[in-house]
Amino acid sequence: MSKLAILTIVVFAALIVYTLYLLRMRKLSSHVTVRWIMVEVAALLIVVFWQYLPFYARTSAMSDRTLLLLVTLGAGVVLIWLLLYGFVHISTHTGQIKVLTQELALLRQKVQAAGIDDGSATPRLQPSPEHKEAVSPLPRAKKSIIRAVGVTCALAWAAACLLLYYYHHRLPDAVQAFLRANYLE
Amino acid sequence: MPMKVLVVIPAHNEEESLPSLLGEIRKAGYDALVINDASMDNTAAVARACGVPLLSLPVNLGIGGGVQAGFIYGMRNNYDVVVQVDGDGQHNPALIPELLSPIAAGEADCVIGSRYMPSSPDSAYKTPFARRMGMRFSTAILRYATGLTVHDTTSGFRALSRRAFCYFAHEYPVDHPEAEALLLLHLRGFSILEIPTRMRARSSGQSLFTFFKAGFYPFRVIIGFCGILLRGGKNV
Repeated sequence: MSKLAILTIVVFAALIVYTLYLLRMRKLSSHVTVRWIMVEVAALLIVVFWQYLPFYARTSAMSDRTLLLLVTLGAGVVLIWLLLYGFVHISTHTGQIKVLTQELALLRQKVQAAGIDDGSATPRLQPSPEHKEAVSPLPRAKKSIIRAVGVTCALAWAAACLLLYYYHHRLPDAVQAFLRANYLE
Repeated sequence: MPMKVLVVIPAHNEEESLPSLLGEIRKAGYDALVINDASMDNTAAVARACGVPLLSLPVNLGIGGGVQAGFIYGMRNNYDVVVQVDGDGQHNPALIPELLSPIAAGEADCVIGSRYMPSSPDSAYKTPFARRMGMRFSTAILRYATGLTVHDTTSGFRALSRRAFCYFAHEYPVDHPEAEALLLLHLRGFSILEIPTRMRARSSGQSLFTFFKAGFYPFRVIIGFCGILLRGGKNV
């Protein structure tokens, strides 16, 4: 086993330990941890049995397998880290939703016991246009202006890139030299 | 002074089996509480028509979240014992006194109605293969983790003392919580007792323990146990 493969295994083992640490700190629910341990173990197995994946090595058109391994490792670690970060938030919110749901049900029961109609038995009404307007974070007109400005800027940027690509030789010498130094070379 | 007993009934699409079950509980003289776990049928309306207090969860929390809401209700309304009875009618309310007597005598904090006690197995009850496998697995892993032998870890027919359900009001596993709940109780020093019981055939509806879930269950239990053991059960 190469040194790089050993390094990869160590990195994935560390990720598994980190996942369990998040579980221990109650930042990740066991529900989510199950899936993550599965993903991490799968990634670990792929690395361990990398030499048995010649098909992928050939079809990827990258003959330098060490480079390929490095790229895969980097992408995998970043992807897993980002997703774990997202799952921490999902787990936190799931717990909060559970508490809110329970408290809402308990409160409704209390209201019903007091003989007041809590509205849960009646079907939900569609909000009125005034209500929609009141809860909307931005008025419709403002939203459309922001969208129009964003689309215009994106189109202008794309047009500027195309013009620069086709007519960069017409630019002043100083600008051309700057671009060559920083981008074109 | 008699114990104040609350029968908590988690129900998800159980409109057909609820009326007779609630009638039996009322006949037995216990307070009942139905947890409507975002049912799509008329479970909530049926419970209301029977005049039973109802906790209607607006979104589906699963059995763990639903039952925990019942524990919170029991804690806030000063009940001495909470008995959990499934909404599908498989648990016979007439057998509740058998669950209550060890708690009344101070012998246990949690009494489980078991179908598989070696001394008196419920031979009439046919356990689906998937559930049987899941249950054997959780029994084995609970024994491995704690040395505690519980033959029916997935039984939802159980009674809890006030100390135990107040603890669960703060900390209770979410999905397939039965085995994990036993581990939590053991770690917190609560006493658990298993007594033989008989269960009836499901009159309507479908079990939530499907074949697919059964395949996932062992891994779920292992991770759940790891989570509890890593935290040391010191959450409250």
